[in-house]
Amino acid sequence: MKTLDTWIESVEKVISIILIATLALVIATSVFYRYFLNAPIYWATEASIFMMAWLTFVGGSLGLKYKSQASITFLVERLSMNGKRILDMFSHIVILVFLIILLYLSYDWIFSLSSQKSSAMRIPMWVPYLSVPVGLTFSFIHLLNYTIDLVKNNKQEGNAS
Amino acid sequence: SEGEAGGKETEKNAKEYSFKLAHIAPENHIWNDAAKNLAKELKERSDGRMTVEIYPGGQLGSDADMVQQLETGALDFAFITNAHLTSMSDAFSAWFSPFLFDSYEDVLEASKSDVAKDVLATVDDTGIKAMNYFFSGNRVMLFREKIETPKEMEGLSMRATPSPALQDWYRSLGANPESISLPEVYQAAQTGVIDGMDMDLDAAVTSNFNEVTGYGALTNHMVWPSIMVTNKEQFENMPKEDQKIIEEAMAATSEYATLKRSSQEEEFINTLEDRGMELYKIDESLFTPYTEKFDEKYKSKDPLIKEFIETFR
Amino acid sequence: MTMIIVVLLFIVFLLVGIPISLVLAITSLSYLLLSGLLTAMGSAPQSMFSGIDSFGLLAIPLFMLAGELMNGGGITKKLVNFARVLIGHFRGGLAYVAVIANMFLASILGSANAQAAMMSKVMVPEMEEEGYRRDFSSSLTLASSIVAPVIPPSMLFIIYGTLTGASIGDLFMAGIIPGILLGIGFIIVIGIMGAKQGFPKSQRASLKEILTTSIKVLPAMLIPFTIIYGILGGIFTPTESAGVACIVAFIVGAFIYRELKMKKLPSIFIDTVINTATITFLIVTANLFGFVLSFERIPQLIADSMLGISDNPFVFLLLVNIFLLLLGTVLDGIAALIILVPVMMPLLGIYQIDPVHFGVIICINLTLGLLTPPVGTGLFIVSSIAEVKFENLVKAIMPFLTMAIIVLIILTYWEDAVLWIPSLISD
Ligand code: NA
Ligand code: NA
Repeated sequence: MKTLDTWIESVEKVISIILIATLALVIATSVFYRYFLNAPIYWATEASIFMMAWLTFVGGSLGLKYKSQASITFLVERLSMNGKRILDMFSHIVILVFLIILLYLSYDWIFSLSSQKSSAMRIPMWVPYLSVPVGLTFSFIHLLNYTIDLVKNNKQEGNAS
Repeated sequence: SEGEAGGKETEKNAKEYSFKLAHIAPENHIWNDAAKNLAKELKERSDGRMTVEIYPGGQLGSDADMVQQLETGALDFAFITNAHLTSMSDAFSAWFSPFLFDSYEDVLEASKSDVAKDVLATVDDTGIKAMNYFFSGNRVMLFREKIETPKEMEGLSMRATPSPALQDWYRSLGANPESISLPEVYQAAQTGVIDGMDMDLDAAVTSNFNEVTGYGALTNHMVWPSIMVTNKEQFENMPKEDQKIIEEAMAATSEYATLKRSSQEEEFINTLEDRGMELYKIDESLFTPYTEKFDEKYKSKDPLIKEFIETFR
Repeated sequence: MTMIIVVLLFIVFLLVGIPISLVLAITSLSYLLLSGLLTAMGSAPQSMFSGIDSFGLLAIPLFMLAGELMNGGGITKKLVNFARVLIGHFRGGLAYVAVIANMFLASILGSANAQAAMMSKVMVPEMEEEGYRRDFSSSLTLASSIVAPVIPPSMLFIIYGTLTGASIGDLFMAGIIPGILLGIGFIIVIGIMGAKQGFPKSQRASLKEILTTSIKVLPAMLIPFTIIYGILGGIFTPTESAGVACIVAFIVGAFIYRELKMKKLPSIFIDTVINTATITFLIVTANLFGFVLSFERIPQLIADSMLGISDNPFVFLLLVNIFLLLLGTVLDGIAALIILVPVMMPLLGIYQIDPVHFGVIICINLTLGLLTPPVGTGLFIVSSIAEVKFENLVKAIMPFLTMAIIVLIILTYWEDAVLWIPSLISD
């Protein structure tokens, strides 16, 4: 589990680096092509949006792993170490249950897509849509790994906040 | 929707329905008039058994969202743009053949033809059923500088809805189609990121495009079909007479909305001219070579498009 | 009944510390499950995807990246130094520098959190060296960072424009006067406090120093210049400007200042993506939340009950402001914006309120949430970077917060201050 978790983390980082760099290049290049060469890149808008979708779900998963997503912590922080741990376990179980539901819905959605194509590039829509189940699967694995550690009680307390 | 609303059986065994109908246009738009009309027709023709809740303004999401909700049955009816349906089935591009129809009345007649119904049927293998059309917003061209011939359009950046047929049309004119998102169109035209846009008069009035594009060529080069779509399985499981009620109500709405939009044309033109926009015509024959090029390309795409163009050209 | 259970779940899940993005998704699903709306559940993934399927939102990752590149390339520092040699020698000079530098930076950055983090790293140690109290310097830096999303470009305006269809260009122009008013407000606060407490001043910079600093800052000024010239000159749209800003920031940082090292890039990219996703992932789940609200017609219900209270637009705006300030104590900025805008939109038409004016007001209001306890992201960021006790920071921020609220109220009633510049441009 742990190895899988770290492996996914590296994959996410590689995806992130490639996507954000490409995104900035594509937008700037498309401005250049339109304004200076008078030859707009017709697929730039669509490709950028699809890249942002992947960034969102993959980066969202990384953010959940690093606990950098906004949450309300002022109450939790007043609890004792043990209280915190129990609450953390409770909230992670809630999250995992709902992620399972969401994963089921997402895969069901992906596999039942009608043959819809994107409007500019004419690529099948599952290409951008797949970011949803993939990102959620990655999140699930990160959070499951975290929860297992919590239960095993060998997680450093500091990581929990 | 039928299942959740309980589909109450009355003693006459006639079911009651509470439908949800969604579309992306704002509440004061002709589409919402069409929605209200459909609701009224359904209620009257079913003696009150069919009621409709309307969700205007994209409350339930984009075209893609609504199609998906229709597929799962979360939604019962939606008005979907023809532009979106071209992403599900090429055949819908046939409607975007330039200069095919002379008036709203013409295109309304065309929508009742067999070939138009065949186009609707091309999405039958998905979870949705495309039922009928109505037409609003024939396309015109708005420019920052006065453009009087297709030749002058060469190299211009034109904002057009991101559907291949529309973009191909501008490409065949030698212009550069741009798909800038709608909230940014006004400023893009104002600052000159784009030189013009493919638009309809209604939208030009509401979004004050007259302020940023002073010239409008009343080309009416394309029609703008909206498709009334429903959930296929639910529809097919309905009793025959209920299906008939829905079909007739939609036919009535198609007629109502298209003719109403037709009657507004002059009012929109007057409004824009009052605001200082210069509106003018471009001799249609100047476009003929470009139209032929477009026809050539699209006829070879799909036999149904070929049949469609040959029927109405 | 279902509604009450779900509202309770929402509160409980928030309070136990589940990330807000996930709380939105979980409550949406719970509601659909408990109400038996299983078919609508099938639309959840599509609805999440649609949340991000919008060109305007591309500005978020791009402005984030531009900000990170500027920090890594030493551009931020050059801007601060420039402001400092110009006005550092007045009493409380460095305090004014903090405000002015924040306004400079705001013309490049679109996010208050990013700006607060950057500025507190640079300003707080400098001010401490000159003898300012740390809680004062950090609270000042934090307060002035809220001009970031008000002075264009602005992430909040972009999100608001995308959600409502209001012109992003108009929103940008509309933010200029409010941004300047906020700056002036903070300068007044500093003036009053400085007179009372005797703030230090730095030595007057020599002419040579002024010259070298001015020359050094020129490449950094390229970025705001490119953005403004490019947008007004019709070269690119506001969204595209963010992409161009990244390239300019990269070139200036890597090749002119040579502080941006290639080996820093991967971590800059990864940080950008994670910071972006904290916002966009929230947008995604908020879209699902919004779908459920619309499906159940909650916005209409709220609109109707608001109308029951008063049909006067000013009373309405006042109520909205109070409500948002209260909401801002527990939820700030973008999260609140994304959740609320769809709910409030139907009301604008009814009360005949200009969507651009409304957008500016609620964006400023929700940014103030960054400064209000118990949940204020800005407070958290600055207290950890500047190593100031949370309580002390909260106390020190009060004069600035009060001033910001005064400015907000002025802008609420003085519609012209907001709409004047956009109206100039469209004439
Ligand atoms: Na800004
Ligand atoms: Na707050």
